[in-house]
Amino acid sequence: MRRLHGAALRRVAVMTVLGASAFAGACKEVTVPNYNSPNVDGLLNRPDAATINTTVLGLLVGARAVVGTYSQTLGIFGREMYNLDQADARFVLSWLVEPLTPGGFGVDIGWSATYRQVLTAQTILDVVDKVPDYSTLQKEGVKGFAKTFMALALMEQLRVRDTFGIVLQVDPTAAKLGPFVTKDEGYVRAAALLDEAKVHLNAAGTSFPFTLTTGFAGFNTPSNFLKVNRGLKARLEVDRGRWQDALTALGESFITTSTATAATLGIGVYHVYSTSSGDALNPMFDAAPRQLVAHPSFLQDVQRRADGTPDLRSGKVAISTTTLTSQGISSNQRLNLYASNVTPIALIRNEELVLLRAEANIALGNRSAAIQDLNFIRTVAGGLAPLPSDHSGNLVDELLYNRRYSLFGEYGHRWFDMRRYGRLATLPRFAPTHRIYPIVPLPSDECNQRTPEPKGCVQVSGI
Amino acid sequence: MQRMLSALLAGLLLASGTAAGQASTRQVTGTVTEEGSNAPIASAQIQVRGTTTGGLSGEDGRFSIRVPGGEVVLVVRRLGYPPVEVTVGASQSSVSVVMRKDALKLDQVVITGQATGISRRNLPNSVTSVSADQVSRVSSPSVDQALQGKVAGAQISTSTGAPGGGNRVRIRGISSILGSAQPLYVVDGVIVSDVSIGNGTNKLTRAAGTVISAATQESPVNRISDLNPNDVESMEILKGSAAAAIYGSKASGGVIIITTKRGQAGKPQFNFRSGLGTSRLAYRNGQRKFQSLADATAAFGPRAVDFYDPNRVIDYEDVTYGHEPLNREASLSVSGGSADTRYFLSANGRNEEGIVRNTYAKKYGTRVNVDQRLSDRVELQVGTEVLRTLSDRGLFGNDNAGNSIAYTLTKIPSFLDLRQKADGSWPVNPFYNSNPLHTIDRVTNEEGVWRTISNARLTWDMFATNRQELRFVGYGGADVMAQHNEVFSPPELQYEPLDGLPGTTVVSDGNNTQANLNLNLVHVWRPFTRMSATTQLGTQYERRKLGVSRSSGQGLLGGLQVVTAGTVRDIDENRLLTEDFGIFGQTELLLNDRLFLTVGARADRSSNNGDVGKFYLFPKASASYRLPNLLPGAIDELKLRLAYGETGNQPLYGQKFTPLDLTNIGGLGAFRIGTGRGAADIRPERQRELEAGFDATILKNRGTIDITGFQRNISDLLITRTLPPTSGYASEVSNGAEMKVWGMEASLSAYPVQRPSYSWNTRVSWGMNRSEITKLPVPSFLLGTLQVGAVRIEKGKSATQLIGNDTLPQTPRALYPRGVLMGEGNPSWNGGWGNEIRLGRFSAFALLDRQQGGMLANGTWRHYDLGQNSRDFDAPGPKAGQKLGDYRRSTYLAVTSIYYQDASYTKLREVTLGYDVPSAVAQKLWSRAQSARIQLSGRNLYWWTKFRGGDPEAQNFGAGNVPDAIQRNRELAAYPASRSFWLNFNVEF
Repeated sequence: MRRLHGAALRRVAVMTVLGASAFAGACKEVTVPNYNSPNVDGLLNRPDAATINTTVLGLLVGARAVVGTYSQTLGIFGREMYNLDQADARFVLSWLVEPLTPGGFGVDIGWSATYRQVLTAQTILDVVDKVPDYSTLQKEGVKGFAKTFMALALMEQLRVRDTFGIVLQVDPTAAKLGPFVTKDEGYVRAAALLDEAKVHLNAAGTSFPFTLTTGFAGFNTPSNFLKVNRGLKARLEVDRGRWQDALTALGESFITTSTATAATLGIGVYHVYSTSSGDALNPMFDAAPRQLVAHPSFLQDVQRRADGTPDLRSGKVAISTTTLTSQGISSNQRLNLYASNVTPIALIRNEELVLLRAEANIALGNRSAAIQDLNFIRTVAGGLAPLPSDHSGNLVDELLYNRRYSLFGEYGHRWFDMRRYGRLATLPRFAPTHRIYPIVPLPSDECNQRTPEPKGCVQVSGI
Repeated sequence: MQRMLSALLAGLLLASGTAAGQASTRQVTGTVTEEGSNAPIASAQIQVRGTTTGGLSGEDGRFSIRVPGGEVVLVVRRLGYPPVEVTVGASQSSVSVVMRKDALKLDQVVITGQATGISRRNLPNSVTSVSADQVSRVSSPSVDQALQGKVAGAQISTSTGAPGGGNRVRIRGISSILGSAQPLYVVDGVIVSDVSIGNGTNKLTRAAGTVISAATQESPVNRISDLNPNDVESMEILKGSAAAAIYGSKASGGVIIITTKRGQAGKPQFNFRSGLGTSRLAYRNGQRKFQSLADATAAFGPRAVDFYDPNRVIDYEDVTYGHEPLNREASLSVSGGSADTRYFLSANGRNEEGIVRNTYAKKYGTRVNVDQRLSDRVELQVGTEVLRTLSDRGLFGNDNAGNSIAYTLTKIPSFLDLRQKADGSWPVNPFYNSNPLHTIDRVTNEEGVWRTISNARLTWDMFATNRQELRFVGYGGADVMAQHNEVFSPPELQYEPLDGLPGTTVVSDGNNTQANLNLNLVHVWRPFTRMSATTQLGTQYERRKLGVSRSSGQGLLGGLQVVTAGTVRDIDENRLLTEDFGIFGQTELLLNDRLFLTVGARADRSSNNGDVGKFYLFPKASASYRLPNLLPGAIDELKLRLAYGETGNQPLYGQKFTPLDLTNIGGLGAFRIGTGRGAADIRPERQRELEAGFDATILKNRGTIDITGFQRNISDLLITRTLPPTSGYASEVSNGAEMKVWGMEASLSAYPVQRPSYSWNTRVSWGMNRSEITKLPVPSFLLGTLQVGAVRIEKGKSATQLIGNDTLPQTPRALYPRGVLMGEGNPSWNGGWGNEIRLGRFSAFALLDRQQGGMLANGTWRHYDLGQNSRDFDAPGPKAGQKLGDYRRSTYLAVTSIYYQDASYTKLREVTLGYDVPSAVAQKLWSRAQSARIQLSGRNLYWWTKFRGGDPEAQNFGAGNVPDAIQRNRELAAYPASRSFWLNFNVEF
């Protein structure tokens, strides 16, 4: 073997050293973090009080996220309002004319948000006992709060899917999806969650470890928040027709008729909105309007006051200078529910509780108690004359009238009420081709990946 | 690892012989001329084989170099000519070299390694090369658009007609469902960015909710269009894994290698090109003529009474798209230098206006390329370009707020007059949220990009003998880009006060910085005269950082554009960082100039993978065999080739994380579990491709035919599976599915007539591909919704099958529960056919581009129907007494296919008519002029398609969550396509 030429050898040696050192330098592996948000891993593996407290606030965001969806979609199904968005005809075609199908526009109606909320609540419950910087009392407070919001999400969704049933457990891996349970089983679970929450809240001491929004003013301690929990329990019991349980829950809630003022009606807890970046705006505020208009029957069906002027609650709709037209429907009756785009929206308030008590008493045959509550609403909310204490008319009609006008534009109560009382067919239709849906099918993403397909994976033609 | 490298190096050294010692030298002179014309060839490189000594021929073709004593072999190289070897006897002192022009580019060197190349004659893969004249023949806004119809197996579509472009390139069909599907662009060794950063118009249109920007809905410019097509010397399209394997886990979408022009030694050679152009609306949707007031009120409500006038018919497409732009371009380049220092400098400007008033795209750029010989062994090449791009693309695309211009046009009856009044004010649109003419006048959507791409390449011939050469090639560079966007919608616009917040402003800044460094050792070994082995070892490091920050203001105090004038402000920021490292090695063996063998492998690591330390190995192997003079006169040469290669496709940044969403409520921070579940163990997709084919040179070397078939199997396919919502998540990223893609490509290039005074050449390119999901570990799932059309990812089916609603035949009001197959989103085939005829000084060229098949949802048409405003609305429908438009708008939600259309088209893509001014005439006008040329050209002059309205290429967004990698299967209110015309003047001096 001959020797290499000296100069060439030197060059090669230099290159070898350079190359090897460059290579060695590059061999250091690089871990790049997630710059854009914290990871769920951190919450699961290293939970601390600050992270959990912030995630509890996420439950408020989750509960707020569905308010617009329920109020608008179910409001349209219940003929409280129309969405005459001129840029998207599907708010008319898909929600009033065509059958509802799993693959159709907007049948999700809170389904995805519900289980995202359940997952967030469940994750909190899974790790809260491992948080080193929580006291035992604080852990109870977190559990009571999280279970109340998990129950709220489930009971809201039960209204939408009704006899199709719902799922109670989330499965993040999607390997063993939670089974569908019946409507009754769903209510049993939601009620149990509210009752478990009650036990936790009673053991939670005098304050929560987290700070709540101004929408919880007066209800931000465990004992006061328990009154909200009981209010929701009362709503649930009325929803499933357990009238005596409803009255029991109302007794432990924040219901009051002691002062006959509009402010009394508004006592409750609220979703808050703000214009700051990352926050949300009131989804029902549409002053122009650009989408939302009232169904004309709202102003037509209103009762008159003694002086001939309409029920004060008719002020929830105002006449706009703008007329919207979509697919043949025209209207200039805009919603006038909220003063601005940051006005809070009630999660539950006293006006609903009084109506719940009236409804339970009607069902239990306690007519005079019911009339007393209905009159409170009629006079304070509507400025209407009270019913005589021996009023002999149909109290259910009276109840449904007051629920319609008191809870107009909130959560689609109207659609649900008409279904509960078998009166969906009486809802007005714009044209004979328009449909009234009694129930909403499941979204196709839920249907396609389950065998056998759940009961709710069907087309709903409506009536 | 270091030890491995040292051992390899040592091995190379041991196997080598002694470098040639210094011996006595002598002078050899000669001339280089072209065969046939006998014209002298300047700037030919003359090298003494086995040494690093050589020289260049002068303008008269003459050269004079010192060579060692004894017999030597001179290797003469010149771009556009096959290299020639001439033996110079020991006593010979002058030589004449004749080179033959390589019209078919058989001897072009194609890059096959990080630092090596091989003559096309021996190439074992199908690689398409596109030359400078093909790229810049007709003025085009971007290099990728200039490739349309010229590359077999590539689908290149323009997603918007807006000035400045916006294209999608798919090479050999889909290669991923979720990962990146765009090809990798490499300019002079620098991996450059083709990122698309949204402009922020979503804040106005709310097409994707209330977020400030949603790039998928904003038809953004893909930033490769910043490059100046006039600087391109050649483009190579590495289509398959076998060719692209050298780029490892970035290459599954193919690689486009762009080489820019470099200086030629000699006195300064100037080239000036200027042009003037214009464009016109290419396609009209037409609109309904309202026959009666009843029709008008049925569509537009009772207020139509106040506006209906049966005698007023305004063509809103004329009014809106009737701007007649004056487009201009100019470029100047100079090349020159000495044997040791060569330079190429260029500057260019291009100002293109749109057919919509106040829309434009302007580009300015300069480039400096310098080649410097530092010693007889070391050469340094550097290049840098500075690019400035400015545009305003108006307000187009999907819309939920009633202000997108093309969207709004679908809702305006022809009897309504929205034109500016004499007093300068604008009428209020009584039937919709905006007056689009007012919007055009007042909304600005300005984008400005500053970009610098710099590269350097150092070649060091460490030693060279007759038998062996060892070379170090190091190169790298950086691409630094800053994009700034400002969207402004002043308070007085009709739609602005509707949310109670008149006036909207958005300011966005995107900064992309990427750099790569490649270090290579190349060893060439020639043990015998008829064998050579080229081995290289290399490393590649790449880092990419992208940050986008945005802010918006609504309810602007004083109507100011500054964000702080907003009473409601929103901010948004997103960051991304990726670091990759790869090791590459390969050996190429050429035997008897007939058999060519390659084996190689690349190992890659990336910070985007779940395991950041793990190297993923991507091997490749290929072979080709030439059969010269197979059937002389008919088949002059046949080459058989077979190649196998593996490439990867990296996960995208962030896919390994499951985020906690950041939000706030009433001033308090809040976390929610995110909607997308990440995969902590995520790894690159692996694409295994086998490619086989043959190239034939036919008819006395007048033509070539290439035919290639390929099949790729993609495993560890990244999918975003739509999850059942009861999982708590909306989607999940995972590896695990498998997909098969197969296809064929053919190209023909021929010079049937080639005479000094007249010639004809023709090129045909054709490609097709099909995909199939071969393994899906999760249940099949829909991407998108049935009502508007979706893609179903399903085992045994095409990855681009389109599924939609339809009604059951027995019960017409009920739907098929799982939808029906509507068709295939991927075209059956694409092809191009270009012809050039030269008659004396006149030349004519035409390029036809055809797409067969493919399907697209025609959203613009649907919105004309929903606005009860389409041109055939009043035609009789299927049911007696029903209007056709009423039938369609009341049925499409149940029968999705109504608005899905065959997207086949044939386009007359490019036409040129050129005249070479006689040099005597040119010199009479200006004594320094050497040659001059005048050319009339057009792009997209005509097309044949059954697609109704708009452009079948304009796939401006994907349905719902259908990832861009599969397809954008919807056209909706895109900026309309136009025909463009140019008159160009070119002079060399």
